[in-house]
Amino acid sequence: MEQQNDLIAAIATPEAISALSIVRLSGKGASATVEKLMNLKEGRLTGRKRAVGDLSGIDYLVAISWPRGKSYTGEEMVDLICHGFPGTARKILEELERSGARLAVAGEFTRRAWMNGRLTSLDVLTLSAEYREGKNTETNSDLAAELAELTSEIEALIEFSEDHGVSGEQEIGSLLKRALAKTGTLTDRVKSAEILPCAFLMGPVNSGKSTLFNKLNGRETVVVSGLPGTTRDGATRTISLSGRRVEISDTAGCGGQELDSIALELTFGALSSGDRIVWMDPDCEPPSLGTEDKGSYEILKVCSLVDKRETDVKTGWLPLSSITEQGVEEVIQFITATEKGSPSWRLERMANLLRDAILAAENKDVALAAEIVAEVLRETQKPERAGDAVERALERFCVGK
Amino acid sequence: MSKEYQVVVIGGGHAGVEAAAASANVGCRTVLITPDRQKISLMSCNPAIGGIAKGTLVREIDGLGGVSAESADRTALQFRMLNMKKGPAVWGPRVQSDVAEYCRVQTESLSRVGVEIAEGLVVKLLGPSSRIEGVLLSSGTVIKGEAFVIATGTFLNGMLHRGTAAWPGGRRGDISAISLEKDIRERMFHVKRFKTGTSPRVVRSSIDSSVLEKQIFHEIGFRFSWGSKEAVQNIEPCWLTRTTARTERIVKDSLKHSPLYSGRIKGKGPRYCPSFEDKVTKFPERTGHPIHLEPMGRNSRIMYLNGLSTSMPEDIQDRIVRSLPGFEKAVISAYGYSVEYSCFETGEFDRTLRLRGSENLYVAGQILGTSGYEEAAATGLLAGANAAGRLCGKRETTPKRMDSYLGVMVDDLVSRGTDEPYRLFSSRSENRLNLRQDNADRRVFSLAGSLGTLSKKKTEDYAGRQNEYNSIRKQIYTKRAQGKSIIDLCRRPENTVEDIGGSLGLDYTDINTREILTTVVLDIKYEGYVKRAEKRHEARKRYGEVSLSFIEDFQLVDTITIEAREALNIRRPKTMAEAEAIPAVRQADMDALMLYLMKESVSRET
Repeated sequence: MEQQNDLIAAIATPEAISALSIVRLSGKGASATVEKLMNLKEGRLTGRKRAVGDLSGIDYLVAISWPRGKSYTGEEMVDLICHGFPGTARKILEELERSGARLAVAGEFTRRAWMNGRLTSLDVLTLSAEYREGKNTETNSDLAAELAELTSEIEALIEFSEDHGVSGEQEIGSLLKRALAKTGTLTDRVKSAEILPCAFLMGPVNSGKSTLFNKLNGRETVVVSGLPGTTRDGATRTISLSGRRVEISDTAGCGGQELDSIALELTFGALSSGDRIVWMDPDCEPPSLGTEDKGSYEILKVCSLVDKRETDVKTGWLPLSSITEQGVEEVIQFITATEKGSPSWRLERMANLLRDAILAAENKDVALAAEIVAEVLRETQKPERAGDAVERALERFCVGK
Repeated sequence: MSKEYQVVVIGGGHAGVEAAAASANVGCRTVLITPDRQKISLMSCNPAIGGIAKGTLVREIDGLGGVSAESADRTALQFRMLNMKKGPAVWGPRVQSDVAEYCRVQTESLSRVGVEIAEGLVVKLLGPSSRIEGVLLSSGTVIKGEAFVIATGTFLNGMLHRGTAAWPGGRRGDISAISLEKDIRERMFHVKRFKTGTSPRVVRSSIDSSVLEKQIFHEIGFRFSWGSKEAVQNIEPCWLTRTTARTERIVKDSLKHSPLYSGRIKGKGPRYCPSFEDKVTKFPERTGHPIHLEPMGRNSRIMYLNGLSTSMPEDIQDRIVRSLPGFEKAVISAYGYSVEYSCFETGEFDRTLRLRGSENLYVAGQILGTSGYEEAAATGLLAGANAAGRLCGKRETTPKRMDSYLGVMVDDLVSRGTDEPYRLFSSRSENRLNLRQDNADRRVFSLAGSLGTLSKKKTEDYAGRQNEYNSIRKQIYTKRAQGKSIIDLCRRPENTVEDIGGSLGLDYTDINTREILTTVVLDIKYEGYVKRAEKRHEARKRYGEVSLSFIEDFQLVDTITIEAREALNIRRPKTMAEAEAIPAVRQADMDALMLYLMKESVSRET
């Protein structure tokens, strides 16, 4: 396992003239490092402490320390609050680097918080969405808090309403609906932060891949011609489709030559789990792969250029024409489908569960609704690895977050 | 003078009766000692059996071969199913009982199974605690035995309080077991003080019931015991009234007279069965608290005021009661009071309900820290059966948390402890959709088998029901109705048990068929949830086996609370499960401990 708690440092505030700047330091030895630089007694910054003093003659500043398990990252952490001249923070950072700290990469603090169970994968994604939009809104934790509240309402209703002669079934229904609405908002946010797995447009030469690629891109970015083999170098682009961010790759066509089929195999071999392939062939020939194919990608078989076709399309193949737009919507649906196991997939699952809970409550089964809500609540608290979606989102953070 | 038995049960309340009956059913010569044989199984508080989770527990008692369920059916004045609108998993069957009849029928049950009844007051246990040899009665009689069950309820050094008055007693008009408590303390068992209370009773003819709301309940046909032939009939109504602003003001103005609020009672009271003083103090914004007027028996002259538990002085109780609509001229026949009593500390008994450090001394009922007739009866059954089973060379048995409310209760009492009288709630179970009243017999059948409490006849009856269950289940999976398969209909939330019965053409009016059909349909509806709950439980158990042995000093685990660190250093648990059992260790501490272990094991590997 990768050693995660080495000492990292970064400037956490924008590098501009301001009243104050913050330099953040996280990892094993954070406190000791600062104690030494500030000439403090050993242990002065152990635990949740604050110290004011001079740091290596650079600035007179405030150091705030957190013990392991109590900080943002979940590690031993120190924030140095210095005067807000860009040069000051930079000099402090250099000083820390000389004392053995490594400069943090983008999103590394948040990654550690996530690895240490301080943030759930959903928290990371909502944070990422907020960060991009520059505003603070509801998070996964808000939903969890609301569900916890809902749970106690339901339990009180089950155990005590008969004693106290009160009824509250309708109230439970409306609380459930509110939670559902919140899940919806959250799903939208997470979806906007998630980057979907890559979609590869593949198939023989001249099967209309670039035309579709341009169609999806909404503008002519790739040179398209009727001559076979116009696209020799694939083009990749991250675009927004149906409100989702998706990476689309237009690949070079394979014309049946030996080199092409090797390229095809290499491409298939390099696919990562969840990647989508739109296999386009006007003749409805599936990709011929020499070796046994063990990939966990998803494939959509498309019978392209269908406007020029006279015979029926083979079953299992989607008829597509970029000219008449037949089948384009289905392709978009395929490449923007929620990735199984991803945070938005989990949120959609939670929404479905909440719908079940509403139905149960409407059918006089509050106990069942309670069981389902408990399941949703567990889902919000799951610290499980969310995989690539979180990795991709973390890259979007600034250094120092 | 001395007599010899195999099992000696001390106390003739709800716990004692089930303990004695279970011991006799297992096959031991059993005696039950009570100060007053007229008061066996007397309901000291409200005249009702059952409730949410509690009613389900009563059915578990029946499935385990106990006697209370059948007696409750036979002496019921009215039946009510609580929580009808909240799902069949939390339906709470409850009956209003004829108190005097219940005592008589329970006493009869005891003699039917061959329990002897001895009148007397136990003042002392004889022999070393590790192996008790007998008990000494105040009359000087010695009763010898091989195993003992203490089920003294609120009588163990009981003190009654009303206003400024306080006097020793286990219940109004009864003695307090002061010497026995002293003996238990001298034997170095740890005890704590709990308190509970009861409401005033009023003379029926002094109430103007024309202004009260008559309580009539939807007849759905129910019985506690699978042995009862018929559903319970409703033969006596109850009445409902609500407190007025004047009632609440009288209580608020008189709080200084309440022994609860003037600090005379030191024991901890139940949060969930609160006195009226508590209700007014804790929910000052709430008004119009419901008060149920319940008959103490068939055509009884006395009515119980459920919801008005109080230990105010008598004159104030008169004023409180007369402030209720319809009660302007009410005459109180017995005033409410509080009782403070001793019970065993958590950690003194194990899951078989045997006291630690003793081979043959068991405890049951309120002295475990519980409250309620149903909780007492169920623990009584377990203690009595284990006491007798040990003598017959059987292995002691413990109920499982995932299988029954009895299991939930015993596990909670032993591993988590309680600092107030413990009442069962459906939400205490992690497997609520399975712990239903309809399938209680099946859930406890294997436990009944290992305890040896189920008679041959009851075992055969159960097997018959199981056959019918299988046959109905098969029909659901194979038959079709209106062009749809019945199993699909069954899984749809809007279809009720009655709908499914209709599509199968079953006789829904027959109580046996209806009960079994209900179980089949609900089992199918909740199958997925129940399986997942069991899987989660297994996962928790595995995590419970994680060793903590390499943590030398819990002070180093700085992510958990200081109290938890101290408690862990004192108790030195070997596994996560043992750590979880320590009351100062909360769930958040458990999670942090697990994370700590994971990190430590990683750093030791690298």
